Amino acid sequence: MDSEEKGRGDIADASANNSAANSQRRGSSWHMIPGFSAGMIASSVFLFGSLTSLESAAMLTIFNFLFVFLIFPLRGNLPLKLLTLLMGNVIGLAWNGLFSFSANVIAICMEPVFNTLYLILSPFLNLIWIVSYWSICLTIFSESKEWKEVD
Amino acid sequence: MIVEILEAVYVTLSVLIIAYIVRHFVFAFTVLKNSDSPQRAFRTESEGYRPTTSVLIPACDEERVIGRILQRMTELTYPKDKLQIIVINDASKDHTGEIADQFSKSYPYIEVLHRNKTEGRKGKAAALNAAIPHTNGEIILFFDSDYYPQKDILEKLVSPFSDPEVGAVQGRVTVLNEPKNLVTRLVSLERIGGYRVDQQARESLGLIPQFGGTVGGVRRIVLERLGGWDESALAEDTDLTFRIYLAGFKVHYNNDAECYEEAVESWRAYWKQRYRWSRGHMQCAFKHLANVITSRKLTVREKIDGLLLLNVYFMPVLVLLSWIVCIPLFFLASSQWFLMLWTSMSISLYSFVGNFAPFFEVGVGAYLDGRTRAHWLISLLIFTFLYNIPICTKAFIDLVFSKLLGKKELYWHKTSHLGNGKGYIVN
Repeated sequence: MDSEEKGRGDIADASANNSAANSQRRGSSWHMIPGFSAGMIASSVFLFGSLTSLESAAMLTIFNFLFVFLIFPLRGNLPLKLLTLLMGNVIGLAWNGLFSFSANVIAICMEPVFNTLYLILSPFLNLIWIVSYWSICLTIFSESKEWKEVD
Repeated sequence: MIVEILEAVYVTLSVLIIAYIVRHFVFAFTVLKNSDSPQRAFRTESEGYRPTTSVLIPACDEERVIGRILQRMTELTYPKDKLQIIVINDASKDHTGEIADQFSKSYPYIEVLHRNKTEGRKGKAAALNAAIPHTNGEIILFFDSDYYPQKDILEKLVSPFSDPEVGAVQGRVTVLNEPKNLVTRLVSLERIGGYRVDQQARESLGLIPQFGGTVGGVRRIVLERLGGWDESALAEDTDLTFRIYLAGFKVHYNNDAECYEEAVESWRAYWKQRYRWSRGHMQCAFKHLANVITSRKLTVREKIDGLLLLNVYFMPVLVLLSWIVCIPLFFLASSQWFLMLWTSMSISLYSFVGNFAPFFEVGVGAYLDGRTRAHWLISLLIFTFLYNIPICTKAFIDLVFSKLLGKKELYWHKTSHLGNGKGYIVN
């Protein structure tokens, strides 16, 4: 019982430390200026260039917007953030290219069935790379705290 | 003609979906931006504010967990001469009453209200209403029996009441049994997004933080003025939130006041819990929508947020509807704008999860909590959203039928608690 209670005390200690941890994760708001510029350039290339389809360009623009506003204010150095943004655009471009290519190839073989399947599944597949990549980037910029066991 | 109608429906639904996505994006960005600055410092402003406080713990067949919370109540740092704890044993069929009685004998500030089979088992709201006449505190706090609060949580929860505009205060809920399995881990992520970001943002932006009915409290005079809890409401907490706002008071959210809960551990229990939440929330939407629009006590931004909050459980149903509308549109009128709007569907699938915190809200919350490995599970939240589509759809259909048939359900909609939660993950 004693060790259990002591452990539960640790829970309270852990939560009390949260506010201290928050202050340690102070972000860099000004990083958003170069981030926004880079994101705008990348999005403009996709939207007004002929690199990708409109659907892919829209997804990449959403990615850039999300990434700039929710990763660049975090603590961390600017070059690393710009690098991850660039990598994200490359991965997104590759994902959308591969996705479109596969869709076209399969559509030729089994058109009516595939069109319906594509319609149902594409919302999942379109965004899954954004969610996964963004989550991994959050891990890169997060500060780990230790594991605590209550008893 | 059919195409035009479908297009109009699809555009309307997309606009609604986009409105919610923008709302949550603003929430996530606001909390991230404000993470440096401390929230309204009620604690420092009113450090000595210690009103008489009554804590109500409703319990119906909770022998596995009631001892844990009562033991914790004896360890609270709040002055005992200003504290009253009432356990409401709502006709339990197990040993809940006996366990509570043992604590009552040892600690004079703990009382037990036993309700018999005739008066009891009519729901949490009914149990709480029965206990209100027995309370003597200026502030009445509520904790579910499976919860495990911080030792100084009462000080944190009562401090905001030093502001006379504050009618209710809500603390933060954190999952205690998170390491148990995938369900508890995903529920934990939903909780992080829902409290750390969603509730916090609504507090920071002067919108409508939601009173959750547990880990929080209400000013006694406000509760009496409102006539207590609505016993016919399935989501009595959401109902009380709106009644408090419509009466001209505010709900304050205090992120520092943390309490630990035992999350559901199976998909079946998840269904049962979320079904009750969604049906209750929809019931509140029908009840309060017109009042929110016409109220003179709410600001414009509170009205907008109130409307979005009331309708949030309709979103999975609307997403399903827009998906269905898309299929004929795709074959009949696949145009450029259609493809652009189709992307909103993609985001919505990852956005309206469980407690309806989008993936980016969950991620920002986990980041601010210093969680690193938790981020890796964010992609899996899509499964909880997909699971919520049939839950909310069934809740909506059942609610409509019960309205038509005039059926009322006054009984405990309980989530079974096993008393397993002892761990707490911080990475």
